[in-house]
Amino acid sequence: MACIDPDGTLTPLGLLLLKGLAEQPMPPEDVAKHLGEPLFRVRGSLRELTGADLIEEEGGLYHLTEVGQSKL
Amino acid sequence: MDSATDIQAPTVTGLPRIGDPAPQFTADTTFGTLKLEDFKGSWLILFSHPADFTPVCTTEFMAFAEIHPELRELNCELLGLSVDSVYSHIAWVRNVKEKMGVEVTFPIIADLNKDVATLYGMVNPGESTTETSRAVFIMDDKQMIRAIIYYPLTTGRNMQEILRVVKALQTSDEHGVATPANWEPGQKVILPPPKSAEAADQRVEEEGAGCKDWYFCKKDL
Repeated sequence: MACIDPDGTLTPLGLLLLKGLAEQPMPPEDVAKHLGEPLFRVRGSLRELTGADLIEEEGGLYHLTEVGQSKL
Repeated sequence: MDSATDIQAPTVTGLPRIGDPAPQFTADTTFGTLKLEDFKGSWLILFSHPADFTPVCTTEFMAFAEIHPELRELNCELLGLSVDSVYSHIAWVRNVKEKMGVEVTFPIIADLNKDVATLYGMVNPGESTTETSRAVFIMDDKQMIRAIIYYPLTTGRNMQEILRVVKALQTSDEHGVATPANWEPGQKVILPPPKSAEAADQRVEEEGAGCKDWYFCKKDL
């Protein structure tokens, strides 16, 4: 997986995403600029992290859940 | 019943054609699970290759990687596909980097069940029932199919032509023009032919030397 390994650990990209969103909630476009990653990759990664309950979306902005914060 | 009524209309296969919305899919890739809609807002070249660890495909992947930065400047992404596993793709990409010194910077779909290949008609059974042909689907930022190219198994694709098509389509969209044979950026473009006799007269008057005739007018951008 792009952000979470099969054993549940975060990949470097997953960790970068969580750290970025810990600084401030962002829409996917801003995450892409912040990380210098293409938007399609960020969208896929945000979906994966959302599915793992590490982040959630509210009003177009993604932010960390308590579970997500515990991973940092 | 007369003979004319016996003629059957051509069967519509449902395969995507130029001008159709690109069929949506979700697929496992070397970048994790991706949906086609993840690419919305970018142009996209979805292309298939017959198999990992084959020589022609390896030359193509190195060539695609080479044009990737230029495609990105055109807001265009690349997405590869073959009937191989993610593990095979990963091993091949690592091998290409190790042996050829080229990093593959775009995702590759692992289409073991041929789901996406079938959706897009990438398998040509007359050529191979197990491998995808060298298909290229160029989609715009709204995910409409804008161009389709097929090459056979034996023949590697021409990256400069793929780049040229993307540039030509974007130029047509931006300026409302067409592009002539062998057009390259910076060369004259073609004005769409007038649709009335009055407009034809006006076109010849306005465009002057740029027109060989009322229907054949070129101009610089």
